[in-house]
Amino acid sequence: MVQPAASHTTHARLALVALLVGSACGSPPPLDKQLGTLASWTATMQLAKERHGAGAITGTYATQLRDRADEAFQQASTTIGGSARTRADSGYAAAALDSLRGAIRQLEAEIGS
Amino acid sequence: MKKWGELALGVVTSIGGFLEVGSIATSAQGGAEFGYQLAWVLLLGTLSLAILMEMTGRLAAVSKRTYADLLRERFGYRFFVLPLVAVFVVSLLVLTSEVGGVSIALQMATGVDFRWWAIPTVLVGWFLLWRGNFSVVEQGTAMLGLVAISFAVGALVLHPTWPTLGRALLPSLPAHDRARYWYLAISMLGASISPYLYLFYSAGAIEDDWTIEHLGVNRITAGLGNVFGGGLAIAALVTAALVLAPRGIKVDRYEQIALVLATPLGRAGFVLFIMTLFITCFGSTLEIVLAIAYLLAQGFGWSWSENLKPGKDARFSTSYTVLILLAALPIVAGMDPLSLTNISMVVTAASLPVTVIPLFVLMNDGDILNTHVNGWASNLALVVIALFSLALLVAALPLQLLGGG
Amino acid sequence: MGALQLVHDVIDSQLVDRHQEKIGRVDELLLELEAGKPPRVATIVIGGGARARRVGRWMHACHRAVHALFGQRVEHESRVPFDAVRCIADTIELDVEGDALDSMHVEHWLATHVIGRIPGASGERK
Repeated sequence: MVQPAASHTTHARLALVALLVGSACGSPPPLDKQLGTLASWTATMQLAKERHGAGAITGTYATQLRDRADEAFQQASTTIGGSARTRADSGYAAAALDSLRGAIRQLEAEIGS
Repeated sequence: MKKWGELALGVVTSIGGFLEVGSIATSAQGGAEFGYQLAWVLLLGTLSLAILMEMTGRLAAVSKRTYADLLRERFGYRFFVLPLVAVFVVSLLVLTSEVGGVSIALQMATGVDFRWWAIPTVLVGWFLLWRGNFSVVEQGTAMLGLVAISFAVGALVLHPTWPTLGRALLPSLPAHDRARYWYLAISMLGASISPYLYLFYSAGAIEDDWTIEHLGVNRITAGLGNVFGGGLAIAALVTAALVLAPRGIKVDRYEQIALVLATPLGRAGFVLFIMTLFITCFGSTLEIVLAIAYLLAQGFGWSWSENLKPGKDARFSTSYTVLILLAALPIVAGMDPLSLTNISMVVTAASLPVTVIPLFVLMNDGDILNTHVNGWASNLALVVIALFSLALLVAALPLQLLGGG
Repeated sequence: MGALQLVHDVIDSQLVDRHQEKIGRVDELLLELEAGKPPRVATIVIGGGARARRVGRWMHACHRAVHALFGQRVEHESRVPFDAVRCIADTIELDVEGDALDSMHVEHWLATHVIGRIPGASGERK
């Protein structure tokens, strides 16, 4: 009965070490998370466009949101390749990046006008 | 008549003081990612803070010494070093976050990058501490802090479903992303229950010359004030739950949070959000830097008071001067204010045992409190708080690694 | 004639001088040990070095290192005879002139060279 207990503890230790090493080395976040971030910024751009149109937010502020979305876009485009394993995944990644790029452009158009 | 005035003021101070960069950021993140579900954490945090503040206030009013004084006197210097270092480090981290909050608010208003605002912010803050007395600092930020009520207005305009919100006030388990849920829970607790809050409150009681006659005022101020303040934090969570969550928007940058008021309240909401962020963070900046300076001065026996001219308490005034200037540096260096805030909230939560457990000992010491020692109910509450603070200490690092965005 | 509880009521207590100004805390007590006589509490020590020593030798070493950083070789510690104690209550009142104490060196130095140089520092109360 010693062996199962020892392997349980060893697994836990290995998992913790992997976690620490992983967070230290900065391995790319899982695909789901990156897609979620891209979708989040896309929706932010869409809301910002709507709010700017309604006169609720200033162009100055909307520009700041645009800049932040742009940073998220840049970061995602460099790391998402590493997280996408299958063709289907790459498809989702490309679509998400496109959506965000499109939404950013739409906000820029809205602010510019 | 004067008592009623003091009472109202005390309540107002607590309301305005509750919301600051940590509460705004963590409530917004919680609402965006889990809807109403984490509301119970805010309720728990609010009640715990109210209990801790009432106790440190009672300590000061009865024993005529602050909690920091008693930490040194009753536990000796050797033990005192532990809470001294812990509170110093943690509070300094939170202080830099607050400066970050003010800077972001100014950036949103003007378009000038937040890094440029850190130094002007701390200089103005320093000036207010230098020239203003305790009443000015306390009352000024309290009155202005009422602008935070805009979160309540925004939440009401969004028509929350009250039964669902009510149920969310009871603890629940997450259906997804367990690590993230508990990570947000721990950071919300760290935002609500900050040691600088009850340390400052205790020092404030001495600055305001509280006596045994103020025990009732103390109870109402600590109780009502924090309950209202907690209500505003819940309102912030609700606005995020109703504006961000349905759209799948997660809060990755402070700038996104303005949308939670710009949506229900239009341009007025946008302006009110910036004002709320600016005022509450600025007020907390002053409060935290004073809390750290009080801790040093009281622990080492220096003269101290915001009511004395700086020349009369040189070590105290030098402390707050150096601290507030230091706090600007990480922001000037461009550290991401939201990441800074999130980390400082978790670290705060982890540090709670060193200031909660000694309080339990002091609140039962008849030599200091005479007949005003804790009754069984207060002790029970404090034991519960102490136990979950230990749980937070244990859980903090794993949750930061597993759920820390 | 009651007994004085040194640890409970004296050590780490707030000290005030004859003008009720805060002058530090009781950081250490020294007993006088003379052959043939009972030990008696002779001296109150006020100073960072004494505090640091209570925590441990390592702490005292750190304390000295920090002082060396500021170019100070002499520690500003005050030793006040226990006879100067006038009253022991919430604070311990000493019949001394706070300004004359060595341990107040940093306070005075800051008041003169740093705080005093900034306008608005002088006066009694705000």
